[in-house]
Amino acid sequence: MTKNYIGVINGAREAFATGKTKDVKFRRHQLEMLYKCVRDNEARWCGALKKDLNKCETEAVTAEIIMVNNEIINALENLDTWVKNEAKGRDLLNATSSVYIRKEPFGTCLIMSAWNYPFGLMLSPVIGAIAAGNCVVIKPSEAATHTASLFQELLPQYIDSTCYPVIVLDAKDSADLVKNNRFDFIFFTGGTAIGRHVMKAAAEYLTPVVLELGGKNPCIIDESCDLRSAARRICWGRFLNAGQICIAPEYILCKASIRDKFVEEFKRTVQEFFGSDPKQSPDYGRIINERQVNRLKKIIDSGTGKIVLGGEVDVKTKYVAPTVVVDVPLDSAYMQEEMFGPILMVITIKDIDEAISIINQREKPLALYIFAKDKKLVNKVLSKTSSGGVTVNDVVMHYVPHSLPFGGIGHSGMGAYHGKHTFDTFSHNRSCLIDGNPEFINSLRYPPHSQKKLSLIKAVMMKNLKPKGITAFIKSMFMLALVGVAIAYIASN
Amino acid sequence: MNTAQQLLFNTRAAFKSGITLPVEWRIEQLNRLLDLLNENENALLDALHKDLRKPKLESIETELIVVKNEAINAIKNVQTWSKPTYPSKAFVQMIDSVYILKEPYGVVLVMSAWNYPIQIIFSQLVGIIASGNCAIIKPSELSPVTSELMSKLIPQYLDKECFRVYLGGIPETTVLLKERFDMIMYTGSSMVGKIVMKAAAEHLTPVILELGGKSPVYVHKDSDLKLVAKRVVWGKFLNLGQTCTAPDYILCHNNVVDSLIDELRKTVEEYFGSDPKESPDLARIVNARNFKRIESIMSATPKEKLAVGGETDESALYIVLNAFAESFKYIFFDVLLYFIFGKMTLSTAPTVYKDIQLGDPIMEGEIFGPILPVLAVNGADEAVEIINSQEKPLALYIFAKSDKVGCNVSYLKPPPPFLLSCTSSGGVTVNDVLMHAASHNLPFGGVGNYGFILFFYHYLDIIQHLDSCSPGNSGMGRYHGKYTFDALTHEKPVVYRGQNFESLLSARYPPYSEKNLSMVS
Repeated sequence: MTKNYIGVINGAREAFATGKTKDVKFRRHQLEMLYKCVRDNEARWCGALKKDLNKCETEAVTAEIIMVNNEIINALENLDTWVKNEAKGRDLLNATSSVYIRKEPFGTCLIMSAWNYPFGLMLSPVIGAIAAGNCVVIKPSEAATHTASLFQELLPQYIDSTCYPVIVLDAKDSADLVKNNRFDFIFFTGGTAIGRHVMKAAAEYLTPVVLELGGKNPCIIDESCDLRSAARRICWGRFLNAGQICIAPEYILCKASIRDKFVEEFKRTVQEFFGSDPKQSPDYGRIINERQVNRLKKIIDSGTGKIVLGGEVDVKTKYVAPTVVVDVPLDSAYMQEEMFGPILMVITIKDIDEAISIINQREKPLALYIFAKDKKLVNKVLSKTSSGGVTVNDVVMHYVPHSLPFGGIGHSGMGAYHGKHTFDTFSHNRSCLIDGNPEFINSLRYPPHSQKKLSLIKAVMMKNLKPKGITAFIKSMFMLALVGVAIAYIASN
Repeated sequence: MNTAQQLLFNTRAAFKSGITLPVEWRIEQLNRLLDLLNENENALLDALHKDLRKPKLESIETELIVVKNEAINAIKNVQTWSKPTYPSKAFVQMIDSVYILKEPYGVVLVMSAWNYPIQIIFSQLVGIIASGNCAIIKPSELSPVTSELMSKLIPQYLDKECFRVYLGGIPETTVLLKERFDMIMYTGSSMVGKIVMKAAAEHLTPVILELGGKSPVYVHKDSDLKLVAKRVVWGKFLNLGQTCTAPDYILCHNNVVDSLIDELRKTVEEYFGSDPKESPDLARIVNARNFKRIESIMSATPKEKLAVGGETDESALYIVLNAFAESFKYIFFDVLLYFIFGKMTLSTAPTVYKDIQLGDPIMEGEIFGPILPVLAVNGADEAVEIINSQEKPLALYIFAKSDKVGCNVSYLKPPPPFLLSCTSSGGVTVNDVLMHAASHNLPFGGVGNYGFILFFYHYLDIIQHLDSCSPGNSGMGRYHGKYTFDALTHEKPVVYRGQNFESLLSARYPPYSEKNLSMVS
């Protein structure tokens, strides 16, 4: 645990006040060092993830290391473009002025990460925050103890530890952190309940927040789709990280006619992926801690659904078997909170309208999935439901492209990031206008006012809906000519 | 269900019906909004005059034209704005279709301010309509005539189910804030901004807060003082100083401070005559409470520091009746008062103070009135120190001929122009005031304690946004023009894949092997 974390936070603030993080060269150097920190220690990062979550090397590398690596490279390649002033269009009123937006850092940002992808979810926003010129207080989740420790050990060896300190706090200090300290921006990844608490605490300081929360992500399977490929993709997505992923498909909505066939294919796929005893598979993860295992055990023990696969729980080894449940009533224990575990519910529906209705009765999810060949059906679902993001005919994939903003809506969160969107999220767009107007235009607005001045103002400033085309063009040319003549007249005097 | 809950329930039902989704419907509503403005110009001007004694030119320039231009801009562009966008794809997405859908949030609560009552509500409404949202509008009870008028006109012209007006004071607003909205847009003071954000946090509702600040003006020694005076006096006394981006205080280079004060005095007389109370071009303070607040700032400032103005006028009768009305908190009484007494009272002459120091009471909170303190500084560095010791303002104004008016930040080479790099603010105008908020294409909003979720609005007009603000932070979020549309839109990313190419994808499935790993990497 970090002692004197308040001193550390003050240190970051003071560092920001010196202006050093505003220097683009400084930011570039820090990102290059961060890149080294990631690449030079790949084995150690994987080791920590294995200890925290029994995460196998493949998942650790593909889902965490590669993501972070690519984000840093993307930032380094584009930093010079991102930080440039953005020139904006001018109008008649500002024709001779300079109109642009400066991209500025907010100041000292707090980034709090979750325990399920403790490496990736911590560094991904940090990269954008550094690129945008902020100082960052980096707070990994204390539940992922080995990864948090490794951040504390390694980051100060590579990046400026005054500007980007790592703090690890216990539960009590964590709860008080936002309440008792003022930040210029807060980025939080975690559960909805804590998200609410963070926003309320931030409100006292009017600190803007981005909240990446969670939800129960629905997955619609239409009878027109190829059930085998759907089963494989969904199985892969559901059991990543032993189900502890915010964008996993949580519950299936499909017609009764295909349900059993889907469940068959799904069971077959579990066997293919993890063998007949998934506990022995090196590719299957573990739950983060006993508290979470007990939470999942309680849901399974509620008996409010028919278990057709799995259901075994071993609290000691934090193992929960890949589980599938059918005949699940909407008010059952399985359908309350986000599962965040390796359990898939399959709910039967009569038709797509019922599926849409079930989805819309619930909180807006972080992700929505639909497997179907029929484009019209897909578009109907997309336009009648809302979610943070969507993948059609697969799961999880909208998380991957840098060009797509990733974030939630409603209880699944607010704000978005990834790629340039992270840079934008951590930047204050400061509008600037360098006035170059000739004074006679400005003087129209000064008192004492007159009807004549008012008519001139209206003529210069007021837009019109019509006409378009040649008459409007001639009119605007005429106005410009008038202005030109007036300028010449004044200048000659 | 109480009234607030019923209202929300009905508006949400209207949103769920999907009526706001087709672009044609949005364009039709925007046209109706334009009709509302065009057909009721006199009534709107009259209401503004009754609430704030706002001069006709100001009302047209800073409220009506601004909103009409926003509406026209939206009508012309909403088709483009609402189309899905197609961002670049990564190599792994080459077989996929990748796009971003523009989705409305749902029901937006608009809580507006009293200083630019028409402009704020209608500009935001333009963005709300364009983005396909529904709205519950709560105009300020401190501008009762305008609010009452809006509650009549909006249902006459716009879809009654989708856009509703809810009148009320503090108790009614408190009840309203308990309910769950999909987005809240609040314009007003930082103090109430905090209350709004806390209430929103209960439901995890995103907020856009346009608050206020003490916007500083730095005048460098090379400036054309006559020009500075003309622009600052105009910007400061617009709406009698009740503008959130009004120049709050001046930091003037020592060498020229006395000449500047002379120019300020001359300009005040030029604009408002020798007896400003008689000038038709000055608005009035909105109510007794604010009048008293400004009066107390003036009494706390020593008489020797008075350079220009200083007179106040308050009708005793108005104060007595106003107190009576406030205890009932009914709009009706306020309206009655206005009809009887008009807004000819509660005036404070344009006032300038010199030799002000950082610790003086006038430098404590946002002034939001017609008093202008002038502090003398040694140069840009001292100005930066003073500016940075305060909360980040909504706007920063710099008057300088040379673009080398930088600050001493040795890390940055070459030294950046102006004070921009060493300070932060919502926006900046150099060599003028308010104008950055006038540009259509620039985002308008605050930062830090002064702003949250900028939203941009699109104006061709000289003055814009102009919200009520009071001491505190400038807000979060930004708007104007397309930026309003963007702030009120959820960008929903979609990756649309086929069901073939399964063999390509199977590299990611367990059981994992070294081969899988190297292929994916």
